[in-house]
Amino acid sequence: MPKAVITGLGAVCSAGWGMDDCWEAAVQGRSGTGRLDMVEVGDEDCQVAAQVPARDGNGYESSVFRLLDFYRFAEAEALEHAGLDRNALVSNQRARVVVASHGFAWKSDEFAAASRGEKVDGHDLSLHFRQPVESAHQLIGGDFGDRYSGVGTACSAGLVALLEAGEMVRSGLADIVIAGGVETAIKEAMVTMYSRLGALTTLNDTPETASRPFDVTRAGFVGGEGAAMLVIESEKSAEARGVTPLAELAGYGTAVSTAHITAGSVGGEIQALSMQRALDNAGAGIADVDYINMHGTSTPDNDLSESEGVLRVFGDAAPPVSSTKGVTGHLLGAAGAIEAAFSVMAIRTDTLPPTANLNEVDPRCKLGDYISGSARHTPCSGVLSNSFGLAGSNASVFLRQL
Amino acid sequence: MRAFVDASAKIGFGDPYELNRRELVPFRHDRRCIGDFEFLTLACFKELLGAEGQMEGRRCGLYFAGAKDTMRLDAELHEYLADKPDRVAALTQFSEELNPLVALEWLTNIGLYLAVKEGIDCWRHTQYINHSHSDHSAVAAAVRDLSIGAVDVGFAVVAIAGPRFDEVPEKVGAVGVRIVAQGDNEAGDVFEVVSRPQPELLLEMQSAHSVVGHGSALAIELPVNEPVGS
Repeated sequence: MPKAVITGLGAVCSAGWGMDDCWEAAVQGRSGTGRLDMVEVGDEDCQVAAQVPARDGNGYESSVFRLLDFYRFAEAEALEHAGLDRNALVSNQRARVVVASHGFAWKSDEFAAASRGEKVDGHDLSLHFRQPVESAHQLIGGDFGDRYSGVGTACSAGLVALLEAGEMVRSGLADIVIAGGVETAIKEAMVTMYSRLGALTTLNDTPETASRPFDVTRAGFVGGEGAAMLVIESEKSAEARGVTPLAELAGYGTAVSTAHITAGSVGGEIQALSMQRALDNAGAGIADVDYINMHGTSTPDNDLSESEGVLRVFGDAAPPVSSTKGVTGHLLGAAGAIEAAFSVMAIRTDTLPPTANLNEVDPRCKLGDYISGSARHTPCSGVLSNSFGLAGSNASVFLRQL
Repeated sequence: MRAFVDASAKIGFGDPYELNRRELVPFRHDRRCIGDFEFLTLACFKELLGAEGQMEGRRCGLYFAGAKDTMRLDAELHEYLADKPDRVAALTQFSEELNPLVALEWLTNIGLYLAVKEGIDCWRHTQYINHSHSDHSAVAAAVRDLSIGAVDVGFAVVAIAGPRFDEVPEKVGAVGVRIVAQGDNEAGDVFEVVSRPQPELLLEMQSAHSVVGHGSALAIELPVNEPVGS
């Protein structure tokens, strides 16, 4: 079976435009969260967000253009990194594109506005989010025809897109796949829905520390936005092009739990299954994992159940873990992609980023080594990265140094 | 890449079907589009699952296709609410009885709900939302994953509800196939998996399989293109 390798990275998030800026912020634990000023959300409990800073001082005509700009920037950076030309890929029948998005970019705000001050809960509002996504998908990947796939599995979608790309390469269906996620989720509707679901942070007084995964005082996630695209290709293709791979996309796993609409499985059982399947798929053992980039949303439930899941798989041998969402906020459909990119950078630089704003680990989170404070410089040749979605869509990937 | 369709199902798309089958899910909605959508997806998927226990010990992949017309449902809802004097009340009424599990990510969650309910071992799950050919993405992914042994059986399903509240168009329905790696008609005709405006691919696959007959398998081929310039 062909090996799937990663040859290019591109990203934009609240911490900056470009992979270097994003990674530097992750390593420094520098949060990109601030007061929510993109949209008006009335008196909702959450008033902070991890917004992408304006580029060239220009705003966007609509959230669709915002999404497209994020996507095109990340894609262009990844392709340049990999030494590839997009036009050549469009005409290459062995090249594909897989893009994940949660689908929040659209015109649903008026529904949220209509509910302002009324007793309409987040569940009802969630009905109205899936506005016509097709226009943006056509703009993103329409020129690839049926070699373009859009993936939507909630907050695990960015990682599922990489899984899709890996399977395409391993099965021989493609030589090169541009894969990742893009999100422009900071919308009135998103804030309203997740706020009313009790999932968003209420720590409004200090926005930069509002996302604090695993901390005993964590109070919910911070909505983020941005994009991350990775170039996944067969090892043979990279060799033929004379490109040195950044890492191997060695294995992946998914597992499903619909025990609860927003909560993870009890005791992290299904999350553990996802991780174990990723390791098995890679032919790796727990000793091969030097670091876990956790889903770590900063919600009380996720961070606890994910920790429990890691304990189930690794026991006392659990490696150091951290969540980069303390820096980026939660990019929802793009989260898995940017965190996989960070995981590649951890391998490339032997640097494990800290969890920003983690001052006191929740005593119920019982792993032995939550990285906090500053980055850790240590040999790193294998990384597990997790993404878990609402309603039980769980995914994990294992990345390995070549 | 070759695989085999060993079961297929079609609900609607011109065939009459009964709407009020609440036994499928406890939270089925009576509103036409949403009710149809839930019913169609679940009924189709349940039919593909086959007899109780048939999936036991098999690693399953679920590949659901989101539909343009389903997304259009939201636009229709917009219209529905537009002339209501109290849109919040109308929205709340509309959502009454609807389980939030369905609302967040329509197809995936409906499928995942039933998968867990039926106790199937789900090793891959994806919802494709590229609308012009998402059923092709679903079928291709199932064949791909079967070909490398990632799953033992794949389910590719697309459902379309709508496009309008006040009519039952021929285009409303759900269609899906169950795909396995081994079949019984190696020498028979081969159906080529090539994309076309959805849901035509799955409708044609279902039709072709029905000609082969229940209990038999239809060979399908996913073209693997040669590299350009190499």
